[in-house]
Amino acid sequence: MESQSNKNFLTTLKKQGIVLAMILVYLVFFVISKQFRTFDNFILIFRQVATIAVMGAGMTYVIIGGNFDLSVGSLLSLCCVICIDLHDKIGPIPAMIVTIIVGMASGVISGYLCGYLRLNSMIVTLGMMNVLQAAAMMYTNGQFVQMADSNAWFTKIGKGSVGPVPISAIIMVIFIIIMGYYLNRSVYGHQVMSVGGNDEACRYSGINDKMVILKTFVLSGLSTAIGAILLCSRGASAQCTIGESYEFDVISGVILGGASLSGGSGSVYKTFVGVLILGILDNGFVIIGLPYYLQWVAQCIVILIAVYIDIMTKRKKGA
Amino acid sequence: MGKVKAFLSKHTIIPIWIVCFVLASIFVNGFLSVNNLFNVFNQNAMKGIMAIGMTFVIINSYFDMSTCTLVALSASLACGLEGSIGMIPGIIVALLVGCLVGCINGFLVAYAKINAFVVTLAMMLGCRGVGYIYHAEQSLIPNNTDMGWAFIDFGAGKVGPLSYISIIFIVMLLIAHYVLKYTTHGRNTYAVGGNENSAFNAGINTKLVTFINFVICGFTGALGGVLYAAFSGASTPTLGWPDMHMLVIAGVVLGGTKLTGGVGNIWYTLGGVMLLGVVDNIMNLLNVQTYVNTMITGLIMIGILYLDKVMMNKKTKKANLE
Repeated sequence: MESQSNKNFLTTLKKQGIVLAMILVYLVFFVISKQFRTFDNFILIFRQVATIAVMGAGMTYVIIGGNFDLSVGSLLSLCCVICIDLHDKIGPIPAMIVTIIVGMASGVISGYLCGYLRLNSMIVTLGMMNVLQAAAMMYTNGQFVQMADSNAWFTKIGKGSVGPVPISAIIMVIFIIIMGYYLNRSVYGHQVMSVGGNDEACRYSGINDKMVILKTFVLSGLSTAIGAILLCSRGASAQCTIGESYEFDVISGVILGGASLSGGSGSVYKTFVGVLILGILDNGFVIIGLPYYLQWVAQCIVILIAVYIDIMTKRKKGA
Repeated sequence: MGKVKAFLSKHTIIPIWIVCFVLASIFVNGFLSVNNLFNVFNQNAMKGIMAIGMTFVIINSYFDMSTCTLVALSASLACGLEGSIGMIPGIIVALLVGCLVGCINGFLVAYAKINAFVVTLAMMLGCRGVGYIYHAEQSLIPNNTDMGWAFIDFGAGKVGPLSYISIIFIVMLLIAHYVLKYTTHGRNTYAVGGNENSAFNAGINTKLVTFINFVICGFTGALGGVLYAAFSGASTPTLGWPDMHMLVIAGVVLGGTKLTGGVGNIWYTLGGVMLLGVVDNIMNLLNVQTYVNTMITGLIMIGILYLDKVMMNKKTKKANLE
């Protein structure tokens, strides 16, 4: 009986290898650095990863559906400048609503192109990346946008905290729980998984696969807009290139979380863990005073090792 | 006539080119001059060289995202090593590093069977980190003229209207065409890209073929980087970041090489890369703002992909009817 439960424990451990990896990375920095050990820093990590974690939740849907969304970085820039610019003009809540609408509209466009017209998602979202980046630049004329009052209540979303817990972290956790629940428990979530696994079979079994794919992009746009609100409210200002290369961080997080790039499987919660690993590395490298660039090399090695271990365990299971 | 039509619908890049060229010649002042056209060719030769390697990998049904930072890494090595070990050895080291990156990519994709997107994304970050460390946040400027001519003389040098870089591009195109069409490796690449399992069953060493293709891509990526350094006479850590690989892949795919593998040839790549170059050139001639230029390039990418899809659909429908 005991060995049985022991075995169960081991298999769950193997399944949660990514969580173990996160704890390991955290412990290494915990031992090395005194500053890293502080409670404040622990909280800071959550504040730092909030944007990428929220975006990662949406990206997980897109990747499970068998596509990529490379446009999220530019969309983040566009949403940030729109939100900050409109905050003073039409008030914070309408500004946030407009930001979310812009994010979802961009998702509808790339979703339509990839889902209904069946164009290759990589090139389409690459094109969208250019278009949105240009839109952000045109909107601001290449200038820096800033809020008149940098202590308005809007900035509390990014800067404020309830007790010791940052508000952005609370929003992030709620959003991730909703998205994770939606993926695991709703009909739509199961449809995304099956469309990513085999869209032809889905079509024959009566699932509107085009709509399913379109919705994944809309969710990605929505989460990017929410990420943008978290990001720009923290700085009370934005720049038209603020989101440059965010897409790589987001996709790296999703990959570390073990989502299959050919579609069909993945988990929002694990993506969150993947994003956290990258966040801890980012934070830890700066604190222990290594050159910032080394972080990219470390990121490269961590991704390769994590994916390799993942593949090896899966192969053993198959054999 | 039917033959011509069939030919054009098979090679969609040709009608797209003709339409683009005719419209530009009519509506854009200064486009249709020998000088301008050679200028476009010279400007895009470096991107074209990178696209040659990418074509091999894409026909092999993978793609390589590490090119964008490999460019900066190899450019920095070529510039930085010139002072210490000389120009030619520096260039050789840069190219070898490119091959090494290609080897790592190829090994992990072909032998360890890790998803190519993940591998090359990780290598992209790795090369970026190493490149920044080597640069130490500064631009590197080679200024060694011991041999009587400097690095930049090569980049700026011309034979008639063609720059030396374009001549390298043309030579590489011909070599690539020969390799893809007339050698066993080229044939195997198409076979592996089309259906890896059946290629394996037919006795092809599929892993080795994939491995070699990634090495080729690493080599051409590094060569592109070295030539960029020669062209501008300096290297910065942000060269190629963040979307050089995307432009290269877009060029290859716009030409008609399929991302699913097994279809394509080197002349498609030439057409695709030069098409992007011509669009850029037209925007410049029309005095369009940079932002608008970026936007229109994006729209055109999507538009051409759509056109290609529509033409392909028509063809398959016709085939089904027949």
